Amino acid sequence: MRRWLAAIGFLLLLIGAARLAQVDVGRLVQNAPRIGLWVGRMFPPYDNFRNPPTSTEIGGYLQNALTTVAIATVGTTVAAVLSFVPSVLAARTLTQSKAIFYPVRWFLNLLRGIDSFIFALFFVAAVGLGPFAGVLGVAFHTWGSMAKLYAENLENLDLTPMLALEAAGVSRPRALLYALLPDALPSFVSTTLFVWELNVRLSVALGVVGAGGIGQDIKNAIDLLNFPHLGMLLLIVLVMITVIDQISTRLRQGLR
Amino acid sequence: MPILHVHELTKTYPNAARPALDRVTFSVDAGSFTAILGRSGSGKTTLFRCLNLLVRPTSGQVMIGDQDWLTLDSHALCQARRQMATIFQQFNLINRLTVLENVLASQLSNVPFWRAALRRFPSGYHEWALHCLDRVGLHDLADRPAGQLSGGQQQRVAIARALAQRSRIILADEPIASLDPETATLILEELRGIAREDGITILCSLHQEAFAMHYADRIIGLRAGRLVVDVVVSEFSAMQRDKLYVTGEHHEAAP
Repeated sequence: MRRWLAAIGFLLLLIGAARLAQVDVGRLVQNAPRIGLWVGRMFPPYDNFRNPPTSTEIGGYLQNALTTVAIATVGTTVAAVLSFVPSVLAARTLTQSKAIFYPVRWFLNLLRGIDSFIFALFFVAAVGLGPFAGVLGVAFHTWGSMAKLYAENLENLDLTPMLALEAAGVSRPRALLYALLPDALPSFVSTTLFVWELNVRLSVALGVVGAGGIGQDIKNAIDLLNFPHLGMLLLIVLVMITVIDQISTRLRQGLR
Repeated sequence: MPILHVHELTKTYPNAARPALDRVTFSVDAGSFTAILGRSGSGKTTLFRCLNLLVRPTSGQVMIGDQDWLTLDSHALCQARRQMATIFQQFNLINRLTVLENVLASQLSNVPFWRAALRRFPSGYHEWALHCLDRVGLHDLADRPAGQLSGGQQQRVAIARALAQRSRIILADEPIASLDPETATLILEELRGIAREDGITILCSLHQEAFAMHYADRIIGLRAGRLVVDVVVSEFSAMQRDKLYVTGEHHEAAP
């Protein structure tokens, strides 16, 4: 009986949500032929050979794809550097003082809670259109997640070698750098590569809000209903993501 | 001349039924080798942690020279701790660093911060560290990662690190409990040599009474957090042994 009530309750919730989200299957079915036509036009022979991307245009797209990778790389690196100190303060095993631990965790949660998309929108307004706004967006959001991931890495480490140095009168910062960092470094690098890979995928979308890279080309192609170009752009993104995934995986395997 | 004086030292852990250390009082002479005996849970490790203040005692005094460590602020404590080196049962070396880098860790407080962070020590420090490694016979393993060494070798690296620290006191917390008997003998020889030749005071907790009888000058015995034996080795007898190990009403009632 209770199970039935739960099922009915969930169904009602789902119906409510669908109405709120204005789900309209009829509209999808009605427009299905158009979507099919558009997808068809992404592939050669390109709308009966009208308007295929030229080699110059493809060159431009490749360059913007590189910009997207650059946004993710610089943003991730800045976040990694900024994450060292807060990760120590947000590691339960290393920071006993609740007056430090909780505010640092809250701050990191705040950064993590705001998507890089929102940050990028904000920075486009602040520093203007272009990839730099994207870098700042990625850096700020990633700062929160990365410091938290680093803190978890630190919490898994054996602290006794560090405590042994402290027992001999070595100060906490020195003991941390000397005894704990060598142990933490492999997991830090692995985490950073994983986040970088994630950020490359995420940075594609950043172009949509004017933060540069290949995302901007994708938005333009859709706005102009330029499907041959959209097909080419999606192909470039697919190749780019695959290559980045491979590089990241290989490097992480090399750490073990 | 006592170098270490412990007065009414008490430690009660939160939610514990009885104190882990109960009003322990004793003195140790400079350059002596003192063995601490007692069963598991008798308070040996807590005593050591209260001596170097890795654990804060509930009450009492820890006097090194004429300084009461419990009254020091964190900066002064950091400075004071350099006079006391600790050797652990599980060695507690930094496994990813080399043997030499582990010994050099004893010099971290003596170099500028950037040198500590980059692990770059002046050449004089290298020579001193190598000299200390030579003392324990590990000069040739200086460039090996510490984690690759055998237990006995790792413990000798820990001894070299303690020596390199130029401390006045070495605390050895069950230094041979993870080692085979032959290696254990070598380690204790090493520690006794340091007490005799360098005049460094050694406090060493042990499980085996036979080792204590052979290597120590003095035996201190703990039982359920209380100090029940404090004698020079020649006076350690069956009666003291009973105080340490025999259980039951019969003993508790004895005078």
